[in-house]
Amino acid sequence: MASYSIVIFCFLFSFVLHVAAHGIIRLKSIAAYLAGALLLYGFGRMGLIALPWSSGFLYVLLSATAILFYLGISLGTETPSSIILSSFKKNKRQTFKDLTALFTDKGLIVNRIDDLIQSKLVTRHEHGFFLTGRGKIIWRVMEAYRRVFHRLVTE
Amino acid sequence: MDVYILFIACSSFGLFLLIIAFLFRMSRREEAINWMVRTFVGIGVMNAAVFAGSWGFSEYTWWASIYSLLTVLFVFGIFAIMEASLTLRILTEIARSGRIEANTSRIVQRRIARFLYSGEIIKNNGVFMRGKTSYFSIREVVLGIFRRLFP
Repeated sequence: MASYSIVIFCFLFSFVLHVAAHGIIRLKSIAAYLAGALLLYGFGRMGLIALPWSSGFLYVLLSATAILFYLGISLGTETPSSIILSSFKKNKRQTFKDLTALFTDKGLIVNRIDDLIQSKLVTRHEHGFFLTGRGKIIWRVMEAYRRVFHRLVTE
Repeated sequence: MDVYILFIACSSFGLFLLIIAFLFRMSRREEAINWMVRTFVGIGVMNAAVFAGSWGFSEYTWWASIYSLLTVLFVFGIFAIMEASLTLRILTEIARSGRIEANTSRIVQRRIARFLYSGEIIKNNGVFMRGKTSYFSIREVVLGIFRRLFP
């Protein structure tokens, strides 16, 4: 279990570093997890890690999970679902009209189209919108997911 | 033992994906989360039974950590984004017709229907109230912690 504790230590080290870098010097970077990886590598070189492959993989998974949630908040894209749920903290009883009033077409749709255009996934033309090469790649990934898991793309 | 644990954990996750791909074809779309949780726990129990006697606490901890994190990344990363991302929905509409048909009222309606089914929201005399906490709310809780840590 020593290897396991070392992996957790390296991850916590990176995570604290990440929180500190974000809070103190406003550094919006995920490079802190590289520091933890180097630390883990160092422990490995010292012969303290009995399961090197599992340890490395576990560290990558822990970091990826932290990065996933970090990107979830730093991209600032609060989903409509979370907006609806969090609205009940302020107002415990709401009608459909109240819930619809939480959103505007601009906030919900227009801003997202602008994001897609800025990310160069979509281009705007006279007769509508078209996917760019990058947009088509994402679309193909979504189609593959839809076929494998038999899921409809939702709203 | 190192590569063996890693192989078993990745295989367990592969089995998880295979089973949910099959179950999703047979169940209602709102039940997806419940089926994923049942499958996740089922594989965990099966694995515990198969390796009982040959694995100790350490092996189980390694396996469970890797298997759980792979599942978490799939559920909160790929599944959540593919299922609930409005941006991807808009991208899909553009790919299909070059036009955007999504509208605010329908988007809210669909989400309320989903919450009513999962019990996260309850409706009483036309008024919506917060219901029980679902598995998906875990994501919101974790995001809340991250928002406090990364203001």
